[in-house]
Amino acid sequence: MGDALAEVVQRSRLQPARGRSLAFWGVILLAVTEGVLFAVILFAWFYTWARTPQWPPEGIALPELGFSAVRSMVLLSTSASVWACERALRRGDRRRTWAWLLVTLGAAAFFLGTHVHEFVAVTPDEFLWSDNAYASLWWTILNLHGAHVAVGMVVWLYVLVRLGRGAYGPDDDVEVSTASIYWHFVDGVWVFVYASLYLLPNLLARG
Amino acid sequence: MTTTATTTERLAAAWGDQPGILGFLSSVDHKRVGRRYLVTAAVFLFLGGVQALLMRTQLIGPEAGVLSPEQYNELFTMHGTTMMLLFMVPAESAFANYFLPLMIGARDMAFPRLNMFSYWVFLFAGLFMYAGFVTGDVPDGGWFAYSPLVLDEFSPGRDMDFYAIGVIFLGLSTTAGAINFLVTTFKLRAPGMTVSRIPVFVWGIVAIAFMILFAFPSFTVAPLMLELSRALDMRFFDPSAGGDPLLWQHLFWFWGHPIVYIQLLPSTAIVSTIIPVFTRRRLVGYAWVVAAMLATAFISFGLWVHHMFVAGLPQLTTSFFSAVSLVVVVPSGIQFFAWLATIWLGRPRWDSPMLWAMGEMLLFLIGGITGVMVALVPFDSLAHDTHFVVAHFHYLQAGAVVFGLLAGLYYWFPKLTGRRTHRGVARLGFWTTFVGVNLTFMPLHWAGLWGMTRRIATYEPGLGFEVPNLLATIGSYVFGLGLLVVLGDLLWSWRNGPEAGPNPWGAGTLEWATSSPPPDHDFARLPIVRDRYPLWAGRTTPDDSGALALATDDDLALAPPDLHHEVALTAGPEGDPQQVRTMPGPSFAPLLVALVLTLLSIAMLLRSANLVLTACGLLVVSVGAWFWPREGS
Ligand SMILES: [Cu+2]
Repeated sequence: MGDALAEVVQRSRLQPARGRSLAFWGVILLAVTEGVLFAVILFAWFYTWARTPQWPPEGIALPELGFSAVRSMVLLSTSASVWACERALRRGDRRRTWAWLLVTLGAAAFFLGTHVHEFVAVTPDEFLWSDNAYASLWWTILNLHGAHVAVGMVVWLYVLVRLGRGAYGPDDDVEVSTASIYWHFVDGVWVFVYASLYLLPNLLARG
Repeated sequence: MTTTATTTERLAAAWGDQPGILGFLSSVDHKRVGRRYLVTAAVFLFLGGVQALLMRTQLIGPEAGVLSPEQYNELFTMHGTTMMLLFMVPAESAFANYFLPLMIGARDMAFPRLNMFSYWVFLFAGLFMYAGFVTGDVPDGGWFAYSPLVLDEFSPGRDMDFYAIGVIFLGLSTTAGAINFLVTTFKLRAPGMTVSRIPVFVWGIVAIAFMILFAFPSFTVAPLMLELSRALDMRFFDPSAGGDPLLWQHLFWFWGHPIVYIQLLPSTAIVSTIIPVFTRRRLVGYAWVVAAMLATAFISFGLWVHHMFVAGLPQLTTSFFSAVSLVVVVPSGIQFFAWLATIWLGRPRWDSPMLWAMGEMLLFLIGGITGVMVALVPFDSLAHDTHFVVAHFHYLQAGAVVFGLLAGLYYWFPKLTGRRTHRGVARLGFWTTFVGVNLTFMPLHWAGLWGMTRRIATYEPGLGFEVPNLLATIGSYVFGLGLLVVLGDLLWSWRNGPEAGPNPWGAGTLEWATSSPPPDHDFARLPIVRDRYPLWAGRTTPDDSGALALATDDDLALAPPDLHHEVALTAGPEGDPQQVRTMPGPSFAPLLVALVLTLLSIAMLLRSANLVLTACGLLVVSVGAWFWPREGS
C-alpha cells in the first residue's frame, strides 16, 4: 500500500487528476437534496389536489399546452447544448465551446423571460397567488423552479466570464462539468413540474 | 525518512492561519469550525436552559404568577426551537467537524470554505431568531408552528416571521454541513480505510447526513409556505380557499420525526465509540451496529404520522404508522445488546466518559420504553399533549442526547485541550446531573397520566399535579446545577488540568494518533490503515511531534502531501489512493456570503422588495468572489 501511495503522489503531481472531483460528489448530493425539495412541494400540490373537488378550481381555466410545450422544449434542449459545450471544451475547440454556451444562455433567457412575463403581466388578469390554494401552489412551484433556472444562468455567466479570460481547457473542466450537472438537474426537475402542473390536470379533466 | 523539525515548520506554514483577528475571520480549519460550533451550541444550551428553568419556576405550584401566559408561550416556543435547532444538531456538528477528519486520517474536510460558511450561517441564523427578543417580537406559536395559530390573523406582528425565515436560513447551514460530511467520508479517508474499517462514530454521522438531505427539504418548503402565507397572503393552509392546515403537519413531521433520530444517532454512536475504549475490547457486532444505525435512519422516515394520531386521520393510516413506530425498536435493541455484550466480554473501567455513556444507555432505555407506549394509538389518544409526552421525549433529548454529547465531550476533552479533567469534580457533575434529569422528568409521567396538559402556562390546584410539579421544578434546578458543575470542571481543567498526552485513554482510532491538541496540519505523516482500530493493531512508537506513529515504519515511509496544503483522495469502498489535491486556504468569502444572507433574511422580514433584490445582487457578487480564483493559484 505504501508504494501505491508513493506512485499516486508522483503521478498526480505530473498528470491531470484521475477520478471524479470533490465538486462532482458535492453537486450530486446537492441535486439529491434539492430533488427532495421539489418532491416535497409537488407532494403538497397533489395532497391539495386530492382534497379539492375540482382541479383547477371554479373560474380558473385548464393550463394551456401550446406555448408552454414550446417553452419546455426550448429549456430541455439546453441539456443537449450544455453537453455539446462540454464536449467542445474537452476537445479543445474553444470556438464551439463559446457558441454552445451562448446558445444555452439564450435559450435559458427565453424560458425565464417568458416565465417572468407570465407571472408579472399575463396572469393577474386570470388568477392571483392569493386567490386560493391552487393559485398559491401554482405560482410557488413555478417561481421556485424559475429561481433555480436563474441561479443556473448566473453560474453560466460566471463560466462565460472565466472563459473570456482564458480559463478552462481539456484538462481543466471541473467547473464546467459541475455546472452542467446542476443544469441537467434543473432541466430534469422541469419534466416533473410540467407533468404535474400542466399535463396531468389536462389529462384527467379530459379523460 | 524521518520527519525533521524543518518539515514540521513547513507543514505549519502551509496549514496555519494568519495571526490575529484576520486569521480568526478567514480561517477555514475544521478544528476551529468544530470549536466554534461547540462554544456557540453551549451558549444556546445555556439560553434554552434558562428558558426551561423559568417555565419550571412558573409551574412550581398551581396558579403561580411568575410568567404571563404570553411570556410562557414565547418561552416554550424558543426553548423548543433553541434546543432542537441551535443546540443539539450544532453540538453534533461540533464533534463531527472536529473529529470526523481526524478519525479518518484526513487533514481537512472536503470543502473547507463551505465548512466555515456552515458555521457563520448557523451563528447568524441563531442570532436572527433571537433578535425577536430585542425588537419585542418573540416567536410564540410553538416550535411546531401549527396553522392557523401562526397565520397573520392569530399571530400579528413579526414574531413568527423570525421563526419561519430563521429556520429556512439555518437549514442552509445544516444541509451544507451534511454534504460536506458525506463527501469527506467518501473521498478523504486515509488509504486502506475500507468501509469495514470506518469508525462507528463516522458511520453515525454518515447516517444522519443522509437523513438531513432527505428530511430538511421538507422543513424548508413548509416554513417557506408559512412565510408566503403571512407575507403575501397565500392560502396553502386556509380551508376556505381549498387549503388544508393538516398539510403543514405532514410536512413538518416528515422532518420533525427524523430530526429526533438525527439528534439521537450521533449520541448512540458516541456510546459505541466509548464503550470499546473503556472495556479494552473491540465493539461486539460492529457490522450489526452500523446496519442498525442505517436502518434507523431509513425507518425514521416512515414514522411521522405518529405525531398526528389525534388529528383525525383514517384508522388504517394510524395503525400502519403505529406498527412502523414499533419496528424502529429493533435497531435500537441491536445497539443495546452490542453495548451490553462488549461490556460483558471486556474489562470495564469507570472513567468519566464511561459514566456518561452508561447514563445515556439508561435514559435511552427509559425514553425508549415510554416511546413504545405512545406509539400505540389507544395509549397515545390518552397521553397526547400531556406532560407524559414531555417526560418521554425529554428522557431521550435532555437525557440520552445530552448525556451522549457529554460522554463525547469528556472523552475527547483531552484531545481538544491537551488536558485532563478533575476526576472527583467530574463524578460530582455526573451524579448531580443524573439525579437532576430523573427528578425533573420522572414525576412528569404521572402528572401527564393524571391529565396535566402541556403548553399551558398554569394548572388548577386540587388535581394532584402539585407534588409531581414541585419535584420536577426542584429536579430542574438540580439538573441545571449539575451542568454548571460540568462547565466549571471543563473550564478549570482547560487551564489547569494535568497534561493529557496524545492518547490518554489508550484508544484505538486515528484521532489519538496525533498530538493533543492536534497541530494545524493534523497529521505530520498520513496514516495508512490496516485495521478498524489502527492504534491497537500496530506498533505505537512516538514520533517527533509526540504523536504515536501508526502501524509499521514501512507504512509510514512516506509523507506524501507533506509540505503543501494538500490532501490525498481515495476511492471506492476499499479506500484506494487515487489523487493528491490542493485544498483551498483561508478566505473571507464564507463570512461575506453569510453576512449577505443575513441581510437577505432581514430584507424578507421587513418585506421590502427593493432590499430583497439588492441582497440578491450582493449575493451573486459575493458568491462570485468566493469562487473567483486568486492571482497566482
Ligand atoms: Cu416521532
